Amino acid sequence: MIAPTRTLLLFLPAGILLGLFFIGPIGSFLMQGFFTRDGGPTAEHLSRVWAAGTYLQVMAASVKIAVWVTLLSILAAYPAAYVLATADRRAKGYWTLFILLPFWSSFLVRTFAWIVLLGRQGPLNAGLTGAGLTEAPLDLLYTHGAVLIGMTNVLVPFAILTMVGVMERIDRGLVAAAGTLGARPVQAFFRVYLPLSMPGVTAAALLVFITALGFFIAPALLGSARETMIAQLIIQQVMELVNWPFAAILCLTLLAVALVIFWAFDRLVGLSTLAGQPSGHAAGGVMRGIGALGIRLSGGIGDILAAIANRIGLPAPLTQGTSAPIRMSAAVVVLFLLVPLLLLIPVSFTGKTYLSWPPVDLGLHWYQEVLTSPVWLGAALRSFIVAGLTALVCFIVAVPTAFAFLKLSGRTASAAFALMISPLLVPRLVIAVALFYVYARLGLVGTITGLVIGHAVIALPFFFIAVIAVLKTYDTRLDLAAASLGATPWQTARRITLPLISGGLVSAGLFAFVVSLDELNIALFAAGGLQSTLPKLMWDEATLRFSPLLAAVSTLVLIVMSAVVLLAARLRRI
Amino acid sequence: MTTAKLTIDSLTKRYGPMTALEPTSLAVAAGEFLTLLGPSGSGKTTLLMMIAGLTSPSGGHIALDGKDITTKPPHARDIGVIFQNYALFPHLSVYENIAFPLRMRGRSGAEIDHAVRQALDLVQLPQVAARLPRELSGGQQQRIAFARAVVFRPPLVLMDEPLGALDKKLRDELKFEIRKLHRELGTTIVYVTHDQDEAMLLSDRICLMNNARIEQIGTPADLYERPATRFAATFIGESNLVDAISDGNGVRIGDLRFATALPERLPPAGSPCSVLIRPERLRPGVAGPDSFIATVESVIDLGASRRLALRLGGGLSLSAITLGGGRVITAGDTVHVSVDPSDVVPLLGERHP
Amino acid sequence: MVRYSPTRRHLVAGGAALLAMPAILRAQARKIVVRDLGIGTSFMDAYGKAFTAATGIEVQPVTGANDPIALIKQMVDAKTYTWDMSIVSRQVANQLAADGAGYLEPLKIDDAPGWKALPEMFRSPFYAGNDVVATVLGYRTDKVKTPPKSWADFFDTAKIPGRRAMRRSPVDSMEQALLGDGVAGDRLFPLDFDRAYKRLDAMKKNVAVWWTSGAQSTQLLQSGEVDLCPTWNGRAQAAVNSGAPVAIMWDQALWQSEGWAILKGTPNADLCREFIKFALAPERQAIFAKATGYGPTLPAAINSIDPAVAKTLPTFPANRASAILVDVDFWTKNRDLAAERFNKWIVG
Repeated sequence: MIAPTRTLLLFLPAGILLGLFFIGPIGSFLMQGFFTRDGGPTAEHLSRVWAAGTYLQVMAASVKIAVWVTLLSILAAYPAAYVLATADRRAKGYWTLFILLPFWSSFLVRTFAWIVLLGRQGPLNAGLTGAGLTEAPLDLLYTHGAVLIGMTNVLVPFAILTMVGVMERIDRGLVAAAGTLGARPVQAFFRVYLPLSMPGVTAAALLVFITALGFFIAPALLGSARETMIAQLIIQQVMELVNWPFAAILCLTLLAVALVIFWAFDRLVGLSTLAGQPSGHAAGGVMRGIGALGIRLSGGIGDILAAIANRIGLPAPLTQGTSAPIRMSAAVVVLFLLVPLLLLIPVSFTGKTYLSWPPVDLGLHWYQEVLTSPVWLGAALRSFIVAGLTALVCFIVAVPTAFAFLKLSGRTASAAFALMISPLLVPRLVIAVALFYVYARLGLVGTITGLVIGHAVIALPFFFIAVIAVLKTYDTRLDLAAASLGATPWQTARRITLPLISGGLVSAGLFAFVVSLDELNIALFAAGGLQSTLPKLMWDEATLRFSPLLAAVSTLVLIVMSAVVLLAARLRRI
Repeated sequence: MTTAKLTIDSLTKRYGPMTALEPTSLAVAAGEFLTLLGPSGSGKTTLLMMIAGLTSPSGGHIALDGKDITTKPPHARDIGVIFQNYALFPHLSVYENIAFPLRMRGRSGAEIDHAVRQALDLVQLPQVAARLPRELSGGQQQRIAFARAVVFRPPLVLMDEPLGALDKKLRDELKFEIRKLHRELGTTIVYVTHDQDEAMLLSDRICLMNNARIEQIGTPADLYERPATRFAATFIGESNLVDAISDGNGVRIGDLRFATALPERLPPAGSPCSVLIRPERLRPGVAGPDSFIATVESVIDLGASRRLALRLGGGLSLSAITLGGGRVITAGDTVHVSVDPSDVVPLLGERHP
Repeated sequence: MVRYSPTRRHLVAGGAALLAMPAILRAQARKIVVRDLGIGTSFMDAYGKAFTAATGIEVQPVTGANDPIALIKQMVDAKTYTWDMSIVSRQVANQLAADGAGYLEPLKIDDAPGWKALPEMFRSPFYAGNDVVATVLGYRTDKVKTPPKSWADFFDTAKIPGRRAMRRSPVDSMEQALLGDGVAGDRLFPLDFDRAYKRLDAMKKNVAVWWTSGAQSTQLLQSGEVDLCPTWNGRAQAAVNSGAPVAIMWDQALWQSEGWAILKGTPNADLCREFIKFALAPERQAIFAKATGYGPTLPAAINSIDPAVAKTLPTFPANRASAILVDVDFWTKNRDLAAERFNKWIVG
């Protein structure tokens, strides 16, 4: 048994990072919402939110969009996650590569790709009118649908990764057992596999929902005015109107919604499922009721489908394994994920000065511009350095915490977990703005250190969740064995534990690396624009020029990251 | 033997160049308890999974009650299966786990309730109906798995090392229970294990498997008393295996001669052969017409039994087991040892040398 | 426990000293950091490089998107001068100068020749105008057969059919709605919001896209996503320059100016004054105007620009005939509530 003080000590790095650079700044930022500009307490801002109506309406619309995006993401992610979880080793490698590929490209650039794809002159409309399906181009862009597509496209990979963890732990023998007990494959799926995968589904839904709630770029660029989301209004208050107290109140509204969802999730499913773990605590009466109802409902669906299959005499596959329709739908999902990337590759060779379809006067002009520009190369170098350091900071902060976390149980564990993933709850923009004040006091504005700390705060939840998932599968008896052989705790960690979990740590580090590489807000708002990162330059380029340079940069990053990932995969194998 | 419940004809399984099961034929009678016994990798689980429909065969046929089920999906086979890890559905209560096969068969609520209660009574766990599987002990889980596999009265029940995950005491207890349940239900059972004691206790017949094929099929007594091969002789029970020369109706070992009750197994006179003599069938201290003299090299007293290392003329060493107590034999003693001709078992040549 | 952990204060203090190094080093060099519009390398080409060559003072450009008002306030409040000065719009400059204790340094360059030549409407004690941005109507010449001649034409969907976009902001769209409703340019301010919304209500169904960023408006015109799109003249010009069939309506162009402002309290204020004096030169503004499409504020500058380019600038005589100067102080006073009302209207 580890003494409580020792456990607390392991939490210290995380406590310092989050206390100093997340909870403190966010707290003081949010507090502004209850004070006048002169410092007196007031409820004026709060009552304005209620009085104006618009903000609650936009909040409701944001929740609605987030719910839709969550539903779509789960539906799209499920077959892909299923195939990934059940594929044999080699096939798994390929699926993983394709599913993760979009991660290695900026979400900003993917959003811009959808503008081209869905535009009236875009390839989709060109195809539709070319095939004679429609006379005039359809209004695909600047619609509710476009926002959902753009956001879903970005969030599906996150949902897949979250679900796969749970699905991989489902005993395949249970489905086989259901078969021997008389269940058709479709019944076995709905009665056994689906209920067992629900913790993964709900965890993915939670992650997607919370992340979607804080989106502001996709709705602004792909949606009509109706698809205005609350984060856009927060940004307007912060950046344009400079009414920070009011922005703080809007943030609180957003946080409140997120917290309610988190609370309900923890009560119903348990937060630890976020790390791909089966439900942490035995569910109480209400949850058991809901769970039983869900299981019955799912079973009913399975029975109906099975009856239909029986009626039409559909042959059931004899062998176990993923059926062709599921593989097909997974392939469609992967294609959907890759479409924006695939579009950008040809576009990057266009001779035109703006992002458009079809590419003409092909050449390497844009690549030349990027590769000969010290600004872009400097930003790329800086971004990669910052991403590497971010992964390192996450490692130092989260690995000890993760070890300590596994020794906790019950309420303490829930609280610790909530703390570690709390940065997920707050829109990144708000974190960035709040960080600026702390940075100003510490002289960190416009420094690499400032960027790294900000990115680490944002990447920490992702890293932590990934590490927990790995550590849970680690046999701690090996540590005891090492200790019995005379190893000190430090020697045990260095010689036994870390080498054994290194593969998982590489994945977790990669996760943090990618989150950092794609992080825009910190560079935009907390760094004073002084240290340009790749996303920051892309953002400037996108808001100022909208040029095919973006496509070239995106393609280059894709190539470099693919190389990094393949290298990491090689390292894992060793 | 009554009509065959299950008939297996030239069933084969290959994974690429690897053969998991050589063409195998087998018939199981109605009501019979057949055990597939063998070391891991012998093909016994592969065979069981093909009967269950969870692995598709590379060749051959399976028939249940005379009907070919080779290409039937598992859910249409009506065969109960108990898995090694029980495969209880963790999200369903014990009651719902047992009700599952009945629900799949569209039984009415009252019928289900009656059958589930009965099944729970059968395994003597009526009080756990509302619990989740993870709230049960290993032994309880095993019983529930059994109840679930038989509740729909399948004509055939397959059991894949169902006691493998339990500790020895529980295993011994449940062995007898399975035996009792089999008697009560009269179901046909095909049982997979690598534990010879389980096989000996439970089976009507044992199908001994080795190297992806059947080594020998017979009653437990057959396999123990008259193992056909070296493998069969060593896998079940303890054994003295001795190289000997046939003389037509007996064997010579050095200058000793042993008569055998199984002369038909002997090769032509003058040919070498292997002979099995079970250690407990050697009777030290008993003089008789065929007895021989041996030196006791060591004695291990195990309380209930005593284990002796005997040295015979010509450098032959044999181990013997006697009951404990009685006359004390100590190391260094010279004793008469006798053995009955029916306990001298010539082995058939190995089929794949 | 104490034995293992250095106190929090030690960590922070030590860390801060270590991490703050770059800022300390920077303060010792003769160097200013200037936030500019980030349109290519226009800023450095027109001003930065020449200034360094002339004075030896280094200039570091920083691109900042959107209105930098929040960032500037942060920097001055925290006395962390990541930037020393910035190009800001006249409205932002007025607001920064007026808010609280004031966030801008008085310029005090009254004796500089550039300052004297600067028209009154482009300067204040805290602000020296550099360029004029005109909100104009860009339209596709391949789709719009009758060239629009006023905002009333833009609002007349029967006379000029075609897909329309507007800016998702009360600024510009209010003015356009009122002008579209027949209000005369010189009687535009103070804006009659009720009347503007009445006109917009009728127009709403005809607006296919409400754009949010300048590049987006360029792309809308370039790709033909819409046929008519009010935007800043530089943005419309970018579409023209890229070869798209786009023309600009200069009638009733809505003028705003952008110019130099110094962050209050920056230790480099005097270097910034040097820079502004240097930048207020016709030949420098001419280079900037050519690169950005925005009009020079110094009247003399337009003469030193190639006529082909000059006629695409807001301050070209023919283009400025019916131009209307936006009342930035009106907006400073009304922007907060106007934004709320506009948000309400647009999501409703």
